[in-house]
Amino acid sequence: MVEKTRLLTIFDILTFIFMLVAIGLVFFYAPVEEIMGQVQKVFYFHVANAWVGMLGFTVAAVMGGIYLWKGERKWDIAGFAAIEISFVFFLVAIISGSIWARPAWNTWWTWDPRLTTASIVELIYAAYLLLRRGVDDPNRRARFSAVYAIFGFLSVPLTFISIRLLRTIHPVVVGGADPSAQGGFNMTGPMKATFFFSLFAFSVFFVDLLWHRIRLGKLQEKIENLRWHKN
Amino acid sequence: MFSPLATADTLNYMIAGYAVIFGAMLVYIVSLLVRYSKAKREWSEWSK
Repeated sequence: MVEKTRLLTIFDILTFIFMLVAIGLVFFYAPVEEIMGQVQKVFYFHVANAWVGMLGFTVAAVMGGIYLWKGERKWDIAGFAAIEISFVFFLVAIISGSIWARPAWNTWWTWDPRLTTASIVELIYAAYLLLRRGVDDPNRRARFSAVYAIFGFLSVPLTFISIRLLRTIHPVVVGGADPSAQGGFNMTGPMKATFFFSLFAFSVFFVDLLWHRIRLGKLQEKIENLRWHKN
Repeated sequence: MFSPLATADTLNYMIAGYAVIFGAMLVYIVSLLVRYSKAKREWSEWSK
């Protein structure tokens, strides 16, 4: 069995506190934006979700590289865990962005470079999750997953720089926005504090979830090995 | 599109956005808990 350590329990409590503080900042500290109104508040957790998505895909590529180098299954378990979590968070970023876009752009969806590249990233990792299920041999599955995570990662920086290089209506938070961007705004001090704290809280939340998902992965691996030996 | 003359009433969109965000978090956490307890049960059955 993979027992829950005291350190993980402490980390769970810290994560819960940080998330509560982030929620408090969003709803009670950050001011309502003058033009967009309340929907602008979606921005704080929308960006944080996208950040966790990109962070996890990056972690998975690094884990994939380490697996190919060392050949230890624990790196495969960690990489898979990171992709599963990031897939969920990135999907939430896309959906929450679409909800924000309706009043801001007057449409739920448009094939803008950022939205298109983000959808491609999500589909690449959806394929990863599906294809992984199709490989029975654990070592082959781990090798395949590692290579896929490394090549799949190439789509992540493309999404990040798409709004900085291409003509887009998507606002840019850090750096100069395209003149055709719609729905951008200047962040005040409390908005910046809320934004950066949300990024921090979500990063901690990601590490906490990753830790739990790796525990689950290790237990599933033990069961798989046991089943293999008994059959 | 927003008017620069007045603050838009977008409360419903904010509620919808946060419902998706918190809903997905909750579903994922519950799925982790369910899968872990299922794996624990399976482990105790196989290791008998």
